[in-house]
Amino acid sequence: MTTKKLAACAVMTALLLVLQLVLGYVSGVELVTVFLLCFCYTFGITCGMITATAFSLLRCLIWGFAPNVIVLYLVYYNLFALLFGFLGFHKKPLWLCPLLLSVLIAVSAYFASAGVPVSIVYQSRVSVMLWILYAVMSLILALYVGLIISGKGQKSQETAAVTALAAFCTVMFTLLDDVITPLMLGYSFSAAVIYFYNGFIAMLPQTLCAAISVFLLFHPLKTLLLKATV
Amino acid sequence: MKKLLGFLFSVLSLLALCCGFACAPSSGYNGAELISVSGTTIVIRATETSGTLYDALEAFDEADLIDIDGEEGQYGYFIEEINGYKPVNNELFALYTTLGEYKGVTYSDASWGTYEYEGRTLASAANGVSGTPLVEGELYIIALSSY
Repeated sequence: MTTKKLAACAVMTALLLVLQLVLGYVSGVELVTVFLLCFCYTFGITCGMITATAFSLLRCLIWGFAPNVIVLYLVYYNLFALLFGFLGFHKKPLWLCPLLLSVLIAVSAYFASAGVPVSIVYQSRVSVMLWILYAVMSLILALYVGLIISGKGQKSQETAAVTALAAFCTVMFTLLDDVITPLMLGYSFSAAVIYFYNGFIAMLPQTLCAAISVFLLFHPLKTLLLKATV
Repeated sequence: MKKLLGFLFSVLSLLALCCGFACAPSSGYNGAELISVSGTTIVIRATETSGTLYDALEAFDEADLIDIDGEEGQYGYFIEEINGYKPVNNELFALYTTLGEYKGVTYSDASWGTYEYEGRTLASAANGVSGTPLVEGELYIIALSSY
C-alpha cells in the first residue's frame, strides 16, 4: 500500500459521499455503484475494501447512525469490493454474464407477469419498471451473445459482463437488506414479507440505473482510473 | 361575415367560461373526512374508496384545516412538520391505519407498532401517505412517534 494509493482511496471515498449526497435528491439515480466498481476494478481488493469501509462509516455523519444500515453497507460494499477487485485482475468466465442476465430476465418477467403485492398506488409503476428491466437485460444479453458468436468486441464483452454483475449486485443489496433489517429490528414474518415486496419500489430504479450507468461509464472511468494507478 | 363573427364570439365566450371554472376555488377533498386534529395528531376517516391519503392531506392543508410540510422522497411524500412542530432527536411522524389487507395486499402490520383510538387498535402502515390508498370506512392516524 503506497501513499499514492491511500490518497486515491481518500479521494474516492469523498467522491462517493458527494455523489450519494447530491444524487440523493434525484429519486432512483445513483452513481456510487459505477464509481466504486471502476475503482475496485483498477486499484484492486485492498484499496476497494478500504474505500468501501470508509464510505460506509463516514456516510453516517451525514445520514445518521442506523445500526441496520451500517451493517448492510459494511457487509455489502466490502463484498462488492472483493468481487470487482478480484475480477479486475483475473479473467472473467464466459458463462458468468449470460447466467446472471438470464436469472435477472427470468425473475423480472415472472414478477412483471404475476404482479408484485405492493400498494395499488405503486403497482403500475412497479410493473412498468419490471418490464423495462426485462427489456434492458434482454438487450444486453443479445449484445453479449452476438459479440461471443462474432468473436469480436473484447471490450464490449467485458462491459456487458461487468454490467450484468453490477445489476445483479444491486438486486443483492436489496435482498441483503430484506434479511438484515427484519432480523435486526425484530420484524414478524408477515412484516418481513411486506418489507420484501415494498423493496421492489426502490430496487428496480436502482438496478436500472446501475445497469445503464455501468454500461455507459465503465470504460471511460476505467481508462481514467488506470492512468491514476501508474 | 356576420355569421362567422357570431360563431367566433360564441367559441371565445365558451373558452372564457371554461377558464372561469378552472379558476374556481377547490371545494376540498370529498373522499375523506377529517375527524380530529390535536397538536401533532391527525385522524382521518375515508368516506370513499378513491385516491391516496396524501390527496386527502393536501386538500385539508389547502383548506387550512391542517398545516403540514414535507418533501417528496423515493417512497412519496415525507411529512416533516405538522402544525408547526418538527420532530426532534428520535421522533418521527408515523402513520397508523385500520386498513389491513385489501385486494391481496397488506397495508399495515402490528409488529411495527400500534395506536389505540376510541377502543380500536390501528397498526403501523407499510407505506407512507403517498402509498396508502383511501378505502371507505377505514381510519388513518398520523401521530408523533419515537424509534
